[in-house]
Amino acid sequence: MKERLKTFLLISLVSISLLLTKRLWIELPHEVFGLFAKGDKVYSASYLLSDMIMPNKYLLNFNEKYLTLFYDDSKYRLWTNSRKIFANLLGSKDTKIVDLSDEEFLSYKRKPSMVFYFPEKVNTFILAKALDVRDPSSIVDTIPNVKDIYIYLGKGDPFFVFTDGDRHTGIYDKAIDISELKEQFMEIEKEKGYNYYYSARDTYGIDKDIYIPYEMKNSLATVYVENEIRNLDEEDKRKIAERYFGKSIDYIREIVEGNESTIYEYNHRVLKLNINGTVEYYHPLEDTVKKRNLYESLSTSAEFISQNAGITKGMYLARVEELESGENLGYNLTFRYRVRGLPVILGNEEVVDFIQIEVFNNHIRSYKHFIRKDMNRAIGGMTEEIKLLTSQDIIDINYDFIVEEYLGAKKLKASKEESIKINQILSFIEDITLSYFDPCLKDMEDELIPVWAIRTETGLYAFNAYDGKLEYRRDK
Amino acid sequence: MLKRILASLVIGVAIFAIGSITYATDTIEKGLIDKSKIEQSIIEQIRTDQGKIDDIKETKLENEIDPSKYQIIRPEKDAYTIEEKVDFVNGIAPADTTVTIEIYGTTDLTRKSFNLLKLPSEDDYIEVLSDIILVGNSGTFSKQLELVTGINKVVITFDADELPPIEIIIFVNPNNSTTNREMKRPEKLLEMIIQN
Repeated sequence: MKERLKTFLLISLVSISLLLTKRLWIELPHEVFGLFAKGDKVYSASYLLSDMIMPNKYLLNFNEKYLTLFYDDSKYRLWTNSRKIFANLLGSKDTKIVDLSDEEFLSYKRKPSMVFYFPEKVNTFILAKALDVRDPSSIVDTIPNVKDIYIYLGKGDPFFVFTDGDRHTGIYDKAIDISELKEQFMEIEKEKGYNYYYSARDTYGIDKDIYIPYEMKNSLATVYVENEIRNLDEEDKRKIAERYFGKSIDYIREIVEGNESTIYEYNHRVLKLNINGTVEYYHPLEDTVKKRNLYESLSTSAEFISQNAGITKGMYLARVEELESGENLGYNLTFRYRVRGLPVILGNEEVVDFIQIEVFNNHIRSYKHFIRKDMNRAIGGMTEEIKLLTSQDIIDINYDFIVEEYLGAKKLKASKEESIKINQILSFIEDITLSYFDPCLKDMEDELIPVWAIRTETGLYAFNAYDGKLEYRRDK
Repeated sequence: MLKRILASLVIGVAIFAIGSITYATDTIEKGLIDKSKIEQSIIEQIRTDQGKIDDIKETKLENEIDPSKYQIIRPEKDAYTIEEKVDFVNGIAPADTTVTIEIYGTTDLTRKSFNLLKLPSEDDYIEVLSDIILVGNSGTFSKQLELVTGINKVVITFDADELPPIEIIIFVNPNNSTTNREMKRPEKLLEMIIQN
């Protein structure tokens, strides 16, 4: 009997040890990474930031005559393939830096080259950190903000130009290897599968980099979107609240408003799930923040979005504004997103941007998001592909309207004798980008409209890319 | 007898003429016709006539074509060589003008080896494309041209009788790419960097 008991105990011990070993093997890697993550917060943040800081447009100058513009990088992944090059450059201690005049920079643009256009000026130090450069070089001090990055891709050693719009900084480092990018560039030129563009600067003599296609070879995919937060039942809403507060619902106070919006409150933090699909979070400042740190603020925001909203594919940092609240100094950050590689313009009167965050270094004071997800619906039965209009067609169709806007902005009166010339209108335009317009009419299966988004000195206009109709306007 | 008849006729005509003048004077004097109204109508008539003359002058001016309003911005040259089979035309013209763009190529079956110095005769050309563009409200037009290898003649005609068609000769020579291609690194930046 005693022997049987011993055997039973032995079997039990072996089973328990096996069970514990199994748990240990599964959990150990997480804990190990968790330890590293605590010690090296920068790594995880840079990973998220690198996804959020990326260009809006890519200009490929094959030579003086042939050039093209890509809005969607999903096909060639030019930014992804160039990240390593920029990381090496921004970390290199062996660079030679020189200031270039406007004329010099323009002459280089006509050489074989590639230009990356960011949606807004990017802090060069943040860009370096986003590219995982541990010790950024003096480039970040020489040119603190960058709007476009130019890479020379012709014969000979490479060089780069960082420009913030006013100042152009030429950077030369022959140790930087760009051979793979150059090969890819040549391959794209050889394929000839791109739309040919012309420069309005070279053609109409305007003092701006506006590029207009001769023809658009293709159409854009039909995309349907849905609200991320919609028709949630009580259980789903509670799960979201638990995620935001990191606490069980038993500790969270729940208030249901008359309009079916739900408010959750825990330890001075408030979360509101609105019926219109927006999520609002508020957490008042607990300490005074007298010195703002953009990198820490961006890292905090990136982690907050990642933990609570989940990183939405295509999300990008669109605007950084300094914020002052009493004695506290922080930032107001705006994130937007791309669908199928193209930026999305929201047609919602209440919500203009997808994510707005007020952040004070390591503290998120307020957060508002309105995420519309691509439903990834396969569209069948399309018999004929309709070609997109060019941006020139859009200007022609809406010329009288744009002239009216121009005259209004310049406080001029229309004169019968003197017609408004195209170069005046193109000088009034700041940017033309192919985008999707989200009319925000339905919670689900809302069809996005392909538009040419024309940004002028006074506002943003979204014209239907198939018929030229004005779909949306927003004054500055 | 004849003299008497003639004299009577002269007297008769004279009496009739005097009568009508007297009658008109009497009528005005009597206030049956307002004198100022007559003056006004005469002035109006003169004005109308002057307006008609001005209209005719204006129409004539409008019909006169201002060649500076019809221009080809690109290409800048009348004859040149390229390596690719794609080229472009950009131009300006008043809104709603129709622009006809015709491309003629050469088959060169006769192995005459045409080039810019040895151009084909009119008979050697074959029409490759003919397209009509309507100039938009912005007063600009552009066209991507799909060319053929060898000599291409591009004829651009504006819908304005006085303006002659514009001819551009483009020699598409793919073999030019290895010898004539501008891929040299800009020297100026290199010099500036070396100085630094």
